[in-house]
Amino acid sequence: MGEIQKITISGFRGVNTPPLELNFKKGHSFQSMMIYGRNGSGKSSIVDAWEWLYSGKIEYLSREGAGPQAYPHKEASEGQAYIEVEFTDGKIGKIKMEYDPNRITHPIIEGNLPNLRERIPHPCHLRYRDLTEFVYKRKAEKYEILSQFMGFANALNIQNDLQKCAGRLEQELEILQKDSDRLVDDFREVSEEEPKDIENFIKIINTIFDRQGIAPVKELTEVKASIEKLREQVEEDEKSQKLSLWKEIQGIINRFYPVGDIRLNISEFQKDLIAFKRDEEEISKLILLDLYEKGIEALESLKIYDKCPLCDQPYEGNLIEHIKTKQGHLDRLSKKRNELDTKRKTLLSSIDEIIQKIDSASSNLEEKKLEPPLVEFKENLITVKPLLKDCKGMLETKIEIIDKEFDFTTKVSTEGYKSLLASESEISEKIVRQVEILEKDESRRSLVDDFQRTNNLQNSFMNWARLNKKFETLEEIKDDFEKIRGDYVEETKRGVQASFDKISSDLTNYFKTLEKDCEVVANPKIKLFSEKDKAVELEIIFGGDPISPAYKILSESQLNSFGLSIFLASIKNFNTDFKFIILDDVINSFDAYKRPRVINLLEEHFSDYQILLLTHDSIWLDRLQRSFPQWIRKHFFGWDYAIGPRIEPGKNSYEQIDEFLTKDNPTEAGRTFGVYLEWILQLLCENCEALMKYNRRNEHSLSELFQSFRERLEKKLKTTHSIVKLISDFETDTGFRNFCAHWKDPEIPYTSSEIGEIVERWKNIETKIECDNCHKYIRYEKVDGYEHVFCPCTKLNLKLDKYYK
Amino acid sequence: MRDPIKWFEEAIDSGKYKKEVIAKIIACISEDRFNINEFINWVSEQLEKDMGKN
Repeated sequence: MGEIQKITISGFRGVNTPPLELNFKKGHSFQSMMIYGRNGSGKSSIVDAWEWLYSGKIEYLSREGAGPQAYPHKEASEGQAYIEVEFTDGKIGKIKMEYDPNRITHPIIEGNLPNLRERIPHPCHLRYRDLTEFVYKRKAEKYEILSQFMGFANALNIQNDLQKCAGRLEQELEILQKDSDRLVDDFREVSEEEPKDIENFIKIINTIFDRQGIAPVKELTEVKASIEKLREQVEEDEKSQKLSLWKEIQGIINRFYPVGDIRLNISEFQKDLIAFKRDEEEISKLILLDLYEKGIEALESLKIYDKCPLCDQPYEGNLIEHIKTKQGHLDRLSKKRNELDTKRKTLLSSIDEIIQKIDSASSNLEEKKLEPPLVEFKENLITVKPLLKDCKGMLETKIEIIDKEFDFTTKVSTEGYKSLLASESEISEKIVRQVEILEKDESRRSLVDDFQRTNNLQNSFMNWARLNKKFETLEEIKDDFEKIRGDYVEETKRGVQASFDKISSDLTNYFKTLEKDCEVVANPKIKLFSEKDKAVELEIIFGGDPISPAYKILSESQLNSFGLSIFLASIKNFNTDFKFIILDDVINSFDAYKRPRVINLLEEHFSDYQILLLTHDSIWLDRLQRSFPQWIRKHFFGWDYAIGPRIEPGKNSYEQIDEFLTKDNPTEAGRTFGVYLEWILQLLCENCEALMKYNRRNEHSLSELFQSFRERLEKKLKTTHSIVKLISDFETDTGFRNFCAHWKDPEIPYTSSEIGEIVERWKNIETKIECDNCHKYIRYEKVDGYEHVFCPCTKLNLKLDKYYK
Repeated sequence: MRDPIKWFEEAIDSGKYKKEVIAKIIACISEDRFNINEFINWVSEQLEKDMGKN
């Protein structure tokens, strides 16, 4: 036995320096180790460091939001925070993982860590807090976790990918289906039936060809040519041609109208222009406006009011006022000019727009064969255009340059322009009428509709047929894919289930050991749900019926049994190449009477494993020591911030009592012995099925326990039995009676020799009722009608004659 | 079952599945993953190929 030689932890969590060294070597072999220490003595730092080595993180800290920066001891300097493990297997050798404060998520690794991690597929450490974690995980998570531990990770990844791919294929099919539905609708809209096959399509399209006098087709390839023939018929149809012409003209007219009536604006402009031009002499002086302004500025600045600053000629009156009067007159004229120019620009823009419309309409109507009133419309365009162009040419010049004799008003007062403005409604009505008549024409409409029908039918049928082929091919591939995927998933499930069954068998055994007195609960199972691809639930038989999930009916303590059983079964099955387990205070959650069963479990199923067991329960430690005398014992007797755990070799209760007596501390010695004796008598009463006087507190004093134990042995072995005699003598001894009455009361003084004598006498009894082979106490059993008082291995049998001599 | 490729290789010889589909599935598996996009692209190619024949 032995996987690990030594674990050294330094500057990590509650451990500082000097490093904590756990040396597993005892004699020439490497042994398991038990560490006893009260809560807060630094035990859990060992598991934290191990988890960091194993996975690179400490999960429970991560869940609380504490990252790697929380790992090193606060006082640890660079290079001092690490875990180092020496393995017995030379292939692994020594592995050291050092915290790097500069790259906290990238520790410095020495040794072949990947090799170690490969050998530990399942975590080999378990804390009290983690005990039931697996039980409460979701079905799919349980499946993932177990399958990965069993080496199904690759198979599962591929299974997941295949499932996603099946989803994608399904999506592709849905898209094709939607497109196909749309085309079916298009086809049905024309033919009033759904597309079926080529024969049916030809039959439908031939009814249309027949209606239009086109010879029926026999093959799909002929359809295109026949539709072309139909197109030619439409193009040659006189009424269709006319309709097309009228619709074209309608477009031209709609773009021409409305056209602006500029007659009033142009007449006003003409009037204003003439009035403006009357002050022709003054107009030429407008250029003096700037000069007046500068002159006023200069005079005001020079403060000269009665003479000209240029020629020094005197002026009678105020020269500035005089210039301002002149400037005011020209200002009014300038304002008039600007208003007129604005009108000029507006008119120019309107005339330009009309000319553009005339140009566009004239060019579009040029080759067309027109009927009245469009003939007149076209003539008007021709006559109006040059007159408007004349106006435009004149308006493009400056106001000052425009000839006051130019007669704008006459140019837009022609009959042609008036007719253009007035004929809009007449022309539009004529066009609408013509279009209506032609559109209502049955023969034309039937021809055009049939052409469009054949075109639509052909398009929708061909696209539908192509899509249908695609759909069929995709469906075939998908069916094959699903078949392969389904079989692959089934095969994976079979493999996973076989492994589950293997764990389940161990799980059942372990659970039975822990819960042997609970007959209604049995056969815990890891159950794979066959109706789903990936789901696992825990099932248990309760009162004969399977209950799933099991936690529905299990008590907290039974859940802990379930959790520990799963952990140990997983370790057994998955970590086949690495037989090392760390258990941190896991018995904490078990009732006192169940704790020895954990020991039984370890004895029966994990004797070939190296175990590091951490506990704060001293009584359990005693029991452990008794069952595993070869284990190394350590005691964390305190914790110091600067150092970490304070360590000494672990002591059992008798060794502690001896130490107290040596130091002449009878009070502590008595208290330690009282606790120990109470526990040992409870165990013996249980083993021997002793009758206890009932009390609602379910607590019994030392004397009650001792009396029941003695009475039971007297009944089964008789008072003449040498050990029964020893027990009776011990009970009647005054020292023991006093001890029973007062051991919890520190006020009653005992001497070290008094306590020492009681302890020695009991030790003598104990050596006679404990087997030196299996290290178990005697128990009462009835087999085939015969009553026995012996140890489990039967080497120690108190029914033998030698005890009656 | 711990080596998925092995199962597919045995399946291809079983004659239970269309050879081209399972062969493509195998081609799309590398290490511990199945390349979904590669398979979907192959499916699209098959559909277009069919259209070409049409």
